[in-house]
Amino acid sequence: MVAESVLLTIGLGCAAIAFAAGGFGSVVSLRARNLEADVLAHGTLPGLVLGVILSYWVGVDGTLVGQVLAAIGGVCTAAVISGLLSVVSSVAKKRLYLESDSVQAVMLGLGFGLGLLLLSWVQTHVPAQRAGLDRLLLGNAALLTATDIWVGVVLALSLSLVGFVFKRPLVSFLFDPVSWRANGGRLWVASALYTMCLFLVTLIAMRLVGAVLMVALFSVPYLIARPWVQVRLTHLVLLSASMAAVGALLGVWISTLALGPEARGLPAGPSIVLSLFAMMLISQLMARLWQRLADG
Amino acid sequence: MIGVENLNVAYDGRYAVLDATFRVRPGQIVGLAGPNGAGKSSLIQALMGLIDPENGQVQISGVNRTQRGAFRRAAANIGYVPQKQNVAVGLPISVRDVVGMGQYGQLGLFGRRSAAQIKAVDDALALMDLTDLQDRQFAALSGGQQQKTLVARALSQGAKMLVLDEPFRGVDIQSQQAIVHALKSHRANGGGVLLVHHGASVLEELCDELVLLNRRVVAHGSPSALLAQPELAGLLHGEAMDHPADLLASQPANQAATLQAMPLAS
Repeated sequence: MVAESVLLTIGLGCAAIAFAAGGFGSVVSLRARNLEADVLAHGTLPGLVLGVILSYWVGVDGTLVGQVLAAIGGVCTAAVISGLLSVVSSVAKKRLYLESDSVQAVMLGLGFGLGLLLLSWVQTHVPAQRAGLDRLLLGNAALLTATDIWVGVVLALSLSLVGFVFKRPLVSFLFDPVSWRANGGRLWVASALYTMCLFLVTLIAMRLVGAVLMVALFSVPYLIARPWVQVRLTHLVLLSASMAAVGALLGVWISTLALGPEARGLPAGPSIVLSLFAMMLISQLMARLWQRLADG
Repeated sequence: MIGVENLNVAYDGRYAVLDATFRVRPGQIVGLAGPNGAGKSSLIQALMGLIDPENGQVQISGVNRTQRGAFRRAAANIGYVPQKQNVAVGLPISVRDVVGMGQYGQLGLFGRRSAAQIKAVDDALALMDLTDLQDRQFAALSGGQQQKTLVARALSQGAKMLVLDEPFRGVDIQSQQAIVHALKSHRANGGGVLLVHHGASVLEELCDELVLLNRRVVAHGSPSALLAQPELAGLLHGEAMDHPADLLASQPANQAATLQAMPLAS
């Protein structure tokens, strides 16, 4: 009974985190910046590992201070990778006429490669499970702490508030960034706000699905919602967020309860992403069917 | 009034616009024309504060670009229609919401519109013949209808001055006529328009003044007078002049007089 109430709390926490990631992910998808977000998610990995090692050596691992240290490390390396991406993309476009996806792929490899190298090195020096390193790659809902869950709930509420306050500038910026700037919008403010949200959502949602599958939590809920929303951007964001939350609940249920005791300990990340993928297939098929029925 | 004086725009040391000077007053439609690569878009971007010019003056309603905050506020009062390729056409948004977007800068936190603002959106939709399409998804419209929607967005803003960057590109004749009609109405109501366009017939029909640009302002005056000259008319069809200064030198004295820099007194 106690275990079930704990699972319910974890499930709701996961749903809140996924709600934030799915809603923000629809903005990422509308800007066609999924690969860039993926680079950033992988770029956090080396810093997170370094932060976790540092907190272990200082003796604050597993505490809030340790988590903040790891998060700062993640933000730092992601910022470095992100900055590199921006500079190299600009140079590559101007001098070599290369499209940015080649540079993004290189940067993704750099961040992830460095992260994996550090991860494998520390396996012999730091007890991985104690330091929480084992959830960085694929995520583990069962290891979510009460702090993680509250942070997820606060994040979801904060992003909803940001979305409400900045709804019109956001719509205008997404639809026509040139006119938005011409009419007084400040690009650096929008970029800073977007990047800050991206960092926050990535760092927190990574605990759920891990660095590898982070981009799926951004893009798949959007693909579930998109066929059903034609004229209201707000509805699209809310539907994407809700679908991500449903997918997270489904994934947590599959990884903890549905497959019986012998399957417990299954990582939640892949379960959540595969649940979302199944929902996307159903959504797309139903949308096609609905369209045919509507057309007669 | 909007205008530029001795404006230079450069990218990596290469000049896209050289020493450009002209202005647009209320009640006037000014056409900006020239071949591809003539610097039209660079000039418009500098005018709208999207890029920093190398030097020279840009003024909107008497405010110089060096007065950063005031210039940004003045630019916000210009109805700007960018080239359509800059717009995220696939966004899930209705035609009415796109048109209403022109008023976003004037709305409060909860986005409530006054009766006058709702009427301005209705009027802009009606003027562009979009009333029946207002609940449709923007992406579902034809290219011409989308362009009309963007013009309606600028009109709903209630801006005195409009700046349109190639609004007739890829637009069917009916939509073109609707946009021409709307711009004439705007002028009749005392508004000013700066229009980037290539087509001689529209420029002749619509514009009070024509600025021919080929990095430099190579000619500036009445459209019918300028387009009667084969070498200037050829500029619109992409017959670029390698050395605009040569043309400047070859102008008759009365023509050259129109090329002199005009002070930007408002």
